[in-house]
Amino acid sequence: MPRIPSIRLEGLSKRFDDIVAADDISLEVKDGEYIVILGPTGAGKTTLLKMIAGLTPPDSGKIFVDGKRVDNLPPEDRGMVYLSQTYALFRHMTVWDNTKFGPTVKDWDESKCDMLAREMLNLVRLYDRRTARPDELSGGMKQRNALARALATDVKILLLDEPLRALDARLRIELRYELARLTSDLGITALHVTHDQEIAMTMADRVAVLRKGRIEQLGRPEEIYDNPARPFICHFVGEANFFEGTVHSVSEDHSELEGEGHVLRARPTNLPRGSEACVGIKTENVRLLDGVVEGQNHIPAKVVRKLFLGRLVSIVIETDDGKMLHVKTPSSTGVGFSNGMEVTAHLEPSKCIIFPIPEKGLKEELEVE
Amino acid sequence: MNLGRRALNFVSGRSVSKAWYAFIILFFLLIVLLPTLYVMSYAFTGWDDIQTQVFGNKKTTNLYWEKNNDPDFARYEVHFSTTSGFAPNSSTLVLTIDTKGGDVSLEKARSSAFTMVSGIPAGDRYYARIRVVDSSGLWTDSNQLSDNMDAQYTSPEPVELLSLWVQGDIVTLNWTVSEDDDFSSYEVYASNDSQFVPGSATLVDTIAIPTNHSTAVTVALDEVHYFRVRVVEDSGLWTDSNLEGIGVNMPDPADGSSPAPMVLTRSFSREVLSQVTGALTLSFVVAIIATLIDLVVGLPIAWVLVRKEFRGKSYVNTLIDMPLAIPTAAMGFSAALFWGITPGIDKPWGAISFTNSAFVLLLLLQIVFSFPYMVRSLAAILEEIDINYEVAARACGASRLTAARTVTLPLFRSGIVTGAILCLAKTLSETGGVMAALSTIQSREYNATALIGTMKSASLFNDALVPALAFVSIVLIVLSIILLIIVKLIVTKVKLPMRKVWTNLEKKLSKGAFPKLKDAGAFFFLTFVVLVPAFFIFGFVATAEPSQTADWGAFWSSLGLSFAIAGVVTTIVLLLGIPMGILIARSRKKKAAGVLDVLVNIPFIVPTAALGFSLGLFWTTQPFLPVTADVFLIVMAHVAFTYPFVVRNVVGALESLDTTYEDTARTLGAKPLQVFRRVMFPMMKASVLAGAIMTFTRSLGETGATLAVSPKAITAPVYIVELIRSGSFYQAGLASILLIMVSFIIVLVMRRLTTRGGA
Repeated sequence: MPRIPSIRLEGLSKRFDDIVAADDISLEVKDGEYIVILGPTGAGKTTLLKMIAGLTPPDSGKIFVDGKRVDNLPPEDRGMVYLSQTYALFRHMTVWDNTKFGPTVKDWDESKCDMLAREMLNLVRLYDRRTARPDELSGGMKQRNALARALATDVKILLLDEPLRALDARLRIELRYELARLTSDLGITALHVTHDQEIAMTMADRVAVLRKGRIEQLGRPEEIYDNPARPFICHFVGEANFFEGTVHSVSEDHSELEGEGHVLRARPTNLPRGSEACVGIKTENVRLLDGVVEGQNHIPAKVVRKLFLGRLVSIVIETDDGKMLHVKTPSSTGVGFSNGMEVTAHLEPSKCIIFPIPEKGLKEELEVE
Repeated sequence: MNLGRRALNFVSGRSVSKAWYAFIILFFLLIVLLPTLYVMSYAFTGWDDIQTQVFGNKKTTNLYWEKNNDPDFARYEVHFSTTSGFAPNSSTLVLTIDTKGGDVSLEKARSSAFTMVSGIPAGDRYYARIRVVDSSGLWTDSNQLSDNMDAQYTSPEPVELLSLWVQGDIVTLNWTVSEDDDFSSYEVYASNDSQFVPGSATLVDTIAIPTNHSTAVTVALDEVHYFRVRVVEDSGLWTDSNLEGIGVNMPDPADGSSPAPMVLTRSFSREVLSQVTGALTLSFVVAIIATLIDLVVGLPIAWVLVRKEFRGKSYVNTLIDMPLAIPTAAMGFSAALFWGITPGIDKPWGAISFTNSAFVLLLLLQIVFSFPYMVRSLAAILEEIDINYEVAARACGASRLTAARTVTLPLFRSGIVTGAILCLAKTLSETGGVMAALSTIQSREYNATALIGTMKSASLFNDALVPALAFVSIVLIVLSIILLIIVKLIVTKVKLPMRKVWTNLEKKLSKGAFPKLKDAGAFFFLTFVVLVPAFFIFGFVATAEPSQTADWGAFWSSLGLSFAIAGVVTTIVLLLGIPMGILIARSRKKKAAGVLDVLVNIPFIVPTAALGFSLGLFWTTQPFLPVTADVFLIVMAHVAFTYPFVVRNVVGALESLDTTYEDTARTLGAKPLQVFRRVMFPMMKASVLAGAIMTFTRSLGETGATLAVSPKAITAPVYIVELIRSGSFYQAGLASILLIMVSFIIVLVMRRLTTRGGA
């Protein structure tokens, strides 16, 4: 059976005075899909979510749910629940009453309300704490309570506004799985906004990268990671080094960029020869070689800083003409390097992505507000 | 789908909620704001009246006399003449104080033993007598007083003709002894006509010795005889007693006795303008000085309350808040007994009784009233200032005083602004306490609000006072607003010498006995300047001589009226203030909301007496809605000045309440009304209840607005003021204590309910 789109956005736009929060956003979310909207702070993520939920009226554009237009409906009639990063558990109610809130205000049968609340609290393993008040719960429990409350309304669409942000790292990972499991078990369509690329990579069926109110790229996590649409995404999802220059040559299986004293081989491009371009390579794709080793895409440099991260080592090297390159390498290979050592950076051509120079320059492009 | 849910859908609908908000704003503008400022329109339309009245060469005369307790009491007549020793008649009558055809209760008319008469040419000297008339038309005159208090124009106090006794054709008269210094003689007058005016034709006996207060007169048989006894002074001035009649050889006449004589105690006059400017000056000077003193003394107390832990701290906190809950009329009376020299009674046990200056008394009084506002505002801000700033400054080597002065104080400005504005607004607005205190020491001076209260009472019997009243109200409103703006500018703009550091001096002052002395001084002030005078009344009643039985029925009915009004006012203010608060805090149109926010606070800084006058003027002059029922007017006035309490509290609570709660509740399926009832309201309940308590107690204790709207309705504080005015101190004391206890119990109960509900 072909899946019909669960949510469809058509040309949503919103301005706050001189800030563009949403710029002609169109998006289709399939039934049961988990979409992560990834973007830096101030990209308009929360505004987008609130427009969909009906909490902020858009300036223009349409919103459809299951093919029905909903943007003129009040929030309570749109069939979706908004889950905020502060959980917004009602502090004057117990865990039980919080969970029962949705069914109760919808005026459902009392026994059905109780049944739903019990079921959802069991699902998030909070039934034993049902008489507690929110301020007696730990961060993770609050998060699970908020989730149970949302699920008890029996809606099929969840709008998640950085729900894992306030949790510590280990709990975040745990709840990540729990959230993914619950939504897929219950067949829920989820729209999850976050600035955390790790969440995007691990949880999403598809990722939409949002910047300055625009969706810059939409695709599976691997696509976003491996084939970023523009330098910003390349740099924001993971971290990247960039070289500017002009296209030196193009061929079927590769291209070459000349600039900053090097000729770098990169992936193929359809940019014409001589046009301005840049090449980006993620820090973990730079390989360090001991000493000076001549070769294609080899750049001699000196180690200036080394930072032990545990599993990885982050190394900053300085090329002969003073350019700093960031390298992440597994600890097993990285421990051998120390400050002042002469090394060679090998930039694997198949990992070097070539982009046209962005309109406002590379520096502005890479800025994360 | 059931009916309830359908109704909910309907009410939550967009167009309905828009109409509802439009109603809320309209209500505020038309019912609260417009009436509050309506008196300003007088400045345009009635300016000529005001000018001739206030600036013209006219004077007002204030007259006070002893309340008459005759069971048959019908009216007072105020008589004026330019000749000393005049006998009142229809041509000397200028004013009648009666029930106005039933508009005013008889009790109210009886206790209006005071009047102002305006429009008298300033150059002339006037002499006044008050005549009390009973229901059968018999009358008794008071002594004569002049608006010049010289003894030579003051006639002796009247004696009371006590009894007549017949034996054959001889009638024996008995009267009270005259204590006049210039006593010359008693003259006994007799006539067959109960309406006779004593004169040479009716003189039957003359007695030159003051202690001979009895005589026997031979009269004709088978007739009714009426007698009066006149006290004559050396200067020739005289005062007649009451009239007594008796039948000789026939039954006694039905209307045999006129009311007991009373004494015109004070009379003075001033040009209207000087009275008005004097009152305004007194108000503003007292307000400014009291605020400065509050600031200086309030700072250390707030500091101690926030930064130090000590045993009994919670008691100190409660004690400081107490004056907020207690009706000021009761407190003003209490403090006036403590500080002031009270004519007519012995110095109460334990009282200081050192001043009869209105200025000094008002200053002390206003400090009592306004002190809690200052301490609370300062403490609230101090609570929010992180102590780490001070710790850091001290770690850098600053002494404790230097650290506090240079680091914490500058962070403190908003607290000082709030405190100063609250204190000024409170002191400028206070009426009940001031009137109670000024009446207690029988002051001849008024501040602006007491002048409004007094003039309004008097204007009930004398329309000519209205332009002067409008003038005082307009000036008071305008000046208050200007003053508050200036305060805000001064405190936020003027720089204190924060940079300069007097290391050694401040180090010395930070050590040893000085800080302790400062704390002790502040607490001494709190105890003996604020608390003891405020509660002195308990001691007074316990030690004073109990007087004749009080009219408790009148007190209880006044208390009932006060409660009913406070209850209705609180309900209205809650119903209409909460939506307004939500509108201001949650509106998407930030600028419009900001304007509304400022407008809502206007009734708060307009002195309530001026507000009440303005409001009364508004409602009684509207052709489309000629509502003049007093209780309605009072409720409207109280709604106007308490409205900001609830709105402010709701706005404050909502501003600290994240909108995500509402957003989440909406997406969980709740209609706007459900969101309000189940989520917003429970979360801001404590603030709303605090606002409700404030509204209730303020309405219960309000005198100024009540009097200025309608001098006819007797609420509990007005009743107390009137008891004091008519000199019934003991009853006033008992009534004050009852009012204090009742308000206190209410606050305690409400606070208990609040904390339980909020837990």
